[in-house]
Amino acid sequence: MQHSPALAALIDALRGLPGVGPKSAQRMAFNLLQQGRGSAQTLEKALQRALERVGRCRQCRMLTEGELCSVCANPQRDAALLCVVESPADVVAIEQSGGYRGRYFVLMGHLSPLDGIGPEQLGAREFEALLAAGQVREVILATNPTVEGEATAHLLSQLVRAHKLQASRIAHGVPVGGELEYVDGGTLAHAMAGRLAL
Amino acid sequence: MSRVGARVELCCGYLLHQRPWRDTSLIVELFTAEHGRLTAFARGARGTRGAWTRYSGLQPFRPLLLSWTGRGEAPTLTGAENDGSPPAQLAPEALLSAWYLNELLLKLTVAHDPHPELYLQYRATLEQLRAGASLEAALRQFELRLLELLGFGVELSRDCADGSTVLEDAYYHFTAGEGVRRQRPEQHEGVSDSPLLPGRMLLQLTEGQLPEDPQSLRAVRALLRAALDHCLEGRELKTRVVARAVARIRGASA
Repeated sequence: MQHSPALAALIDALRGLPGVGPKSAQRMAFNLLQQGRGSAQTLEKALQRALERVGRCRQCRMLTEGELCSVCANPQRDAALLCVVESPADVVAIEQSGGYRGRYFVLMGHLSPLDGIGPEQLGAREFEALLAAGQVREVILATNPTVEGEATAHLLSQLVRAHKLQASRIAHGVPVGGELEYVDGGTLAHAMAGRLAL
Repeated sequence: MSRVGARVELCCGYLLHQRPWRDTSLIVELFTAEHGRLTAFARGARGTRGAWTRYSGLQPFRPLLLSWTGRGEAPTLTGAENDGSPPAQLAPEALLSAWYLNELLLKLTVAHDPHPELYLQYRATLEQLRAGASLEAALRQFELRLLELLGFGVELSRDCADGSTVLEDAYYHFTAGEGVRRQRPEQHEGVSDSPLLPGRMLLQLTEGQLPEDPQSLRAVRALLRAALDHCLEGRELKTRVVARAVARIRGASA
């Protein structure tokens, strides 16, 4: 059966979302157009508002509505600590862990030379400006423990050191509740190298 | 879809590049000893726990044992594990060079075309980088072998003007796509912008020997670069652009 053009366009648009296949897209579209008409209008308004208002934080590149995101604008946060992450989802993950009181810098990706993503695309200029502003004392490089993430961390650590600041890298090792037998060799080697005195 | 006879188990290979596909999967570019370069789908390679162990070794620059099934252009990767060698990391300074090797392979090799010798050269070059050898020499050696093995045939031992053998004591100009041409006494300067290359060095290059002094190495670099650019037919190497940007940062922070 062929859908009418407007319905087909809606289904296509929904399919562009992560985790949505053709079946789910169709189900969502039907739901929005039948019992969910009220919620469809709410969704429409919310989407429009978000598109108009949400931009990037001037300081850390996190998604936000104002000039500064809630973390950068919060005077309670420790401005001397800066945690560099790859994506907004990483900020949320660290915030939920609850142990961090400093600020963030969001790269929106990692170094990926084959895709043409270099320091400029990752906001190296904004990062330098932040270091040059003089509030930061320590930079925690929390990029992912992949080859790309390590390369990114190394590059940024050079910038940090050029500003005579301390750069540190998050530890990698055995996950909490894990068993050594099932941990891969690379992780285990890191865990041994980064052992702590008791 | 019939998959009979299209199963490959534990083939030696490397991950050249990966890009996300759908929600949890990856499209991976692999370079293998027996099957050359190929594109495969690593289903569920991002995220879920089960796949994480199946593809645990899927990292670039590490020798892997790869398994896949399926006919056609893009089979499904069913396993990627470390080949048992110790997980030695490349030094961060060498990573850009290693990515450059990957980009050359991606852009200049044809998929499903086995190149066992090139594979060995790639592996040896990565080992050199890992051992902290001179990046410059390792890269030039790789470029030289790549051009030779892929049949782009850069003839350095014969003068392309008359087919005569290159003489040790004469000087030559290199033009990409043509070859080397002897510098005639009557045409002193300005025939071409390319640097003058001593015949002795060209003959050594054909035997895979690189000069040691930095100036000659720079000349070789220019020669190989011109030859590679010719093969790339105007396509830009993205790793070069990024390497320049990174060098700017390193220069500024040094």
